[in-house]
Amino acid sequence: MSTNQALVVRDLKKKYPKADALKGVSLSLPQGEIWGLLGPNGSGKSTLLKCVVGLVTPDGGDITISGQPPSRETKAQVAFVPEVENLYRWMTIRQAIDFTATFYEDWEHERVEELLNFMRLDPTKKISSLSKGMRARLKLILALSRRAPLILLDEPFSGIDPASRDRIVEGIVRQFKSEEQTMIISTHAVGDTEQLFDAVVFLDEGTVSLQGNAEDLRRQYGRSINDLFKEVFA
Amino acid sequence: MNIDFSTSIPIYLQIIDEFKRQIVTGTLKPGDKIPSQRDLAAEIKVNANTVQRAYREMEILGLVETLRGQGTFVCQNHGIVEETRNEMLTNLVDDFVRAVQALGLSVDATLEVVRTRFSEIEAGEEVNNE
Amino acid sequence: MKSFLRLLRKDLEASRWPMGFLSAITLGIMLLVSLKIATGGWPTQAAIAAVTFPLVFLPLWVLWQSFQTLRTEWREDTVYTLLVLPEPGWKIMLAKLSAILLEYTVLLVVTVVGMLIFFFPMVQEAMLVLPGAGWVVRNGILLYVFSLFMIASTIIFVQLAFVVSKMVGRLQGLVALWTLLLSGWLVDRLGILLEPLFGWIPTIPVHALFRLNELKQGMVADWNIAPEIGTWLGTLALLVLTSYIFEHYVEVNG
Repeated sequence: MSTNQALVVRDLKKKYPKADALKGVSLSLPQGEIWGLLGPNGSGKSTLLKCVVGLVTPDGGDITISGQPPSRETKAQVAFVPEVENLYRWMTIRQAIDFTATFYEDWEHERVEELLNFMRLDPTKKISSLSKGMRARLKLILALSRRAPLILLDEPFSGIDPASRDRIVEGIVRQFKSEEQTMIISTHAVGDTEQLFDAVVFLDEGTVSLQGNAEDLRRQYGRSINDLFKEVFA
Repeated sequence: MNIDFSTSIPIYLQIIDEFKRQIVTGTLKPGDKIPSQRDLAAEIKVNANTVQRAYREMEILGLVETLRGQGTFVCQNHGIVEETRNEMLTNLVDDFVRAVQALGLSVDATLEVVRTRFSEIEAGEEVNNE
Repeated sequence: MKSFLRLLRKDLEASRWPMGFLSAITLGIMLLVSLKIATGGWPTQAAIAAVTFPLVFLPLWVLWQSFQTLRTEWREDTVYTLLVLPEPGWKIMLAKLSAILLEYTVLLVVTVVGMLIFFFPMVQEAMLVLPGAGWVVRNGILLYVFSLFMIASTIIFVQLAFVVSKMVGRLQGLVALWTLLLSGWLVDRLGILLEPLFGWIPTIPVHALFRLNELKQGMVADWNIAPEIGTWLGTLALLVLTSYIFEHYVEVNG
């Protein structure tokens, strides 16, 4: 495993009118790993990811993506899948794919067809006609069709059917290239997705309450990450 | 391969145990090719780095060897089945012995019961513990 | 260029239904009025109303549309897609601006075509007092080009106001309104301030440009554009500012 850091976050702070979303979060992600960003709703997971992609301007601290501060250049290196439905509903799946492909040089056209097949999506379908699970699968296709060095998935399993979730988990395992990619998956329900993670970070009210290698944590606590999660956030 | 994971034990160890079991039972024979890391990861839906760690560990243990460009194979070494069987048996027996010792039972009395139960279970008369 | 065209196409396709609806309404009203006139129900002058109504309505629609295309991005969460694109803010803003200018043009053409179809006799009548078809076409195109500048600056003001309002968590409407007023005032002041710099620019002989002397009662009109230049430069600067804010400071809700 390379010692290059794909993402370094130092003392990141963000205040919202109602509450603090991040109270000084620090992380360092080695290249090639899949990290689980775990915490209940409102713990700051989403805000953290949004800061990395520039959807939210932090109040303090700094972020470097492959050694560079966030900029237009780093945006080209990051594939972000938000929790919200960010696709244009009037487009067909094919149109959404063509639209996205225009902006990214690392787009791989062959991979799209493979993924469409695997995710069982009909490209002629309109996005407004898709179920939540289908839309989640499509959003994942758009992220995995790129050779993006950093992939950020915000709650990719939230509120979708188990079949879609299984497809997404398998899609990630199949397509993730640990030689050149790094991934963060945020989730508030660890469930049966914990075997995806190399390492996990528990985020609690804007601070990191526990982090470490997933296998080490299992050995150390003799418990699954899911059980640990339930215990920490009980 | 079908592993019913207990996620409270490191996953790479469970992968190694599964391969050992298959080698001991003869499902995998010396020289057999095992799935590529990526295929196995996809099949059991586990992070590829975890599978990689299991394979690396198995190479160090001398269970499998990876031939460049050809894949990963169970070692040709004929002692391997024997060795793995002994190792697994020793581990099982160790756990058993410690449990029995904790109850303060003697070796002879225990072996007597082991023998009886062995033949009973083999004959299909499994007795429910409850 | 490829990405700009893709953004432009996206914005055009996104409003194809409202565009179709507006065109249909415009033509529908004209058809109705022409039928009423033909059956003698309404006087011929109703045709003028049927044609001027869409023309008066268009700038208002532009105002609404410049606000609406941005608001929709936020309301439908598609702004998450736009803001993470590795593209400069000006491309996204300019694509929206261009889309509205094109849509404005389409609605204008629909109105003119509708006028020719439904009120042809009245157009012919009007032509009698004008110095010929060539004159009308030339002046029409000139007016259109001038109106594009007006429309474009309207869009730029609304875009700035909207984008600034998205930098704050609360009172977005109030902030937008203030930005609109303040930027208008600022650009106006800039025009007055910079006027001496552009004093060397000759006045534009509007009467010659529009060949107004060919009308029955010849008209003379000059246009001193020196004060406008600063305003235009200021407006352009606002577009740059909007793009910068959009790329660097705007946040998604929540």
